[in-house]
Amino acid sequence: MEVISFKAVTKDYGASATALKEVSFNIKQGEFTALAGPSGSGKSTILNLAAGLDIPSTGKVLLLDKDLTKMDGNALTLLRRNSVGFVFQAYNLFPVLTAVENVEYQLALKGVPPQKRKRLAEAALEEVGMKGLGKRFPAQLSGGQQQRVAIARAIVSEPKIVFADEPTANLDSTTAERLLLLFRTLNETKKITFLFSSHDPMVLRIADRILEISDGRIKSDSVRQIPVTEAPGATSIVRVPAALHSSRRAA
Amino acid sequence: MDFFVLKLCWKNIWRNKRRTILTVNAIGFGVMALVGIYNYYDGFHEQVIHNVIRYQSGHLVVGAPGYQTRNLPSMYIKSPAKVESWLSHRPEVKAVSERVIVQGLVSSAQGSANILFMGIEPKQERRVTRFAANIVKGKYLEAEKGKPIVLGKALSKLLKVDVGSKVVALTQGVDGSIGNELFRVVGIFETQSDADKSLAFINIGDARSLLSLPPQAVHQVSIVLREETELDKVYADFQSAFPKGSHIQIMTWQQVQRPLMAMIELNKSANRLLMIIILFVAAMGIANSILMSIMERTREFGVMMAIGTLKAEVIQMVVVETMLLSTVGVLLGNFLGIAITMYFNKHGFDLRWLTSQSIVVQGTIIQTISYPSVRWQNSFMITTCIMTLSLLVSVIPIRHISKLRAVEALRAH
Repeated sequence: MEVISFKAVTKDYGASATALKEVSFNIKQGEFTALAGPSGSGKSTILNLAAGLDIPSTGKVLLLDKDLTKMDGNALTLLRRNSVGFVFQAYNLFPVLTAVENVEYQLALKGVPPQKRKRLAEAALEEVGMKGLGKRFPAQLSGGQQQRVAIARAIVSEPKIVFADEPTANLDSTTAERLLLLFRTLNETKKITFLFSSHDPMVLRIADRILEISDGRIKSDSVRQIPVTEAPGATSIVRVPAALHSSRRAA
Repeated sequence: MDFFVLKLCWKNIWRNKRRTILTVNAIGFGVMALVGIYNYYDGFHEQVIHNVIRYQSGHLVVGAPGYQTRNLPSMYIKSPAKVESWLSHRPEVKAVSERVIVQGLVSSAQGSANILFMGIEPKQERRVTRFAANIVKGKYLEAEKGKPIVLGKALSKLLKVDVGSKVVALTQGVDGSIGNELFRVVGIFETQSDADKSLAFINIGDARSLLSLPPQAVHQVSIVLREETELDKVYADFQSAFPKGSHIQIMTWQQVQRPLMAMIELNKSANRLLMIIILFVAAMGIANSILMSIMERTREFGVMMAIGTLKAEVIQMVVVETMLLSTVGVLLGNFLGIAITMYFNKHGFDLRWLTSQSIVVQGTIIQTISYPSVRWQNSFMITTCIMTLSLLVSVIPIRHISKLRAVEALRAH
């Protein structure tokens, strides 16, 4: 089942600036995909369009079989609330809330009762390795810990897809590697689809599939050929074009 | 989003403690000032009205039509028996005093003055006005022979007379004759009002004699009620019992004391103006605080919307924050305002340090010391105004958030 589908999507910012040009791709449920490319190539624009935060100039964006171009602002927000998780480069936790309250916020939006909310939030924090740190405020946590809280917030309501915009950009390599393994584990255990934007080589090594973006177009679409668990420490990974990979799997 | 939103809002308003404390103090100070001033003036007005009722007119005044405005001695009630009878059957009436009022000259060997002679039945008058309690020398008037007179202290100084001295009253009777009587000073009163230099009490029979009035004639019947709330009912019933053709007119103390009522209304208007100014300043404080707060949090609002918070929910949160901020200020202000009122209710608030002389309106003493009392309706009114204003001020953040797009807000710093 395809959870994201871009059909000839173009995004212009005014007459002279085109961020995306006729971009088309599909992402299936459970895929662990990275959008690679230099700054300004269009990675964040793809994430924004895929999450319904922005609308394409032309073309169609489907998220969970819903045409985002035909939905109003409230419907898009509710779709994100119920089916999407977000992890940002700058963590973007609410500074006045404790770690557990930050996670609870997502559940409060869905109207989960307070007791259940707290239990689920604590469980999510435990899942991302933050057990016992729930009462700390973001300012009392390291960057890696804050990002873990952000991940807990993103996954606590069991979304179908998580968008992560440069999630390791502000972290040191050891912390980044641990977080990537966490993403990977969540992807495998919970079958959550992940779509990253990143130019971190470590992210690119761990991703199942890499969509390389350049000047607003998809330059390449490749799929990993070795088991995922070997990826983080691997120095070189063999990849094949996605189309070829799909046909092999089908065979 | 239940109690969680309230908790988040509460935490949000304390993000910048210094700013919030300044705003809360501004609202609190404004509310305290308004509650204090409104309570002070209510107590002050009540005191003035009380003085008018207990030193002058009573709650209601009955007289010949037009007497209260023209004060002509020839305008008197010829036979007050019907009025007396009607009043005696009314349970609402506490006390009644019949008066004959004479404008004339009082003189002694040392001086003279144009004054008002108030002819009274001393026993009746004691129950209506409180002059008897203000005797500073000698005694109050009694229904005795020998033409006793009670003077104000300032008048006695002017005439250079004391208890036991004799004074002459000179006036023109209703028949054109000259009334001329010798009175003996039996007492001196002091109220620290105009009455001290312009009023003297004599027996009602002596007053009739001075004016050559018939034996039953009275100019004024002053009525004190058991409860002021019964005023309208007694007034209406009296008018039904004594219609226009009966040549008897009843007036409420408000009708008699129009200048005083005008002064009270003027005070109330000034208070309202003060309230508008203070509310405006408070509104500016709230608006500034909230606007600063939301400008700093544009990116955060973007995150909220990105992870599934509806714009309406973000707006709701900011409105709740505004109301919470105002609520804290209003609670603080009411607490302080009520505490100050209670203190001055016990110890009195003396304006002597602001005014060098006693204030008199239409002969009524306005005491410089006032005892404000806690009026919950004042607190309620001021609280309602501030909270309504806070809601109106919320339009500023509502407009800002309504225009926000999550994707742009996320790029804000």
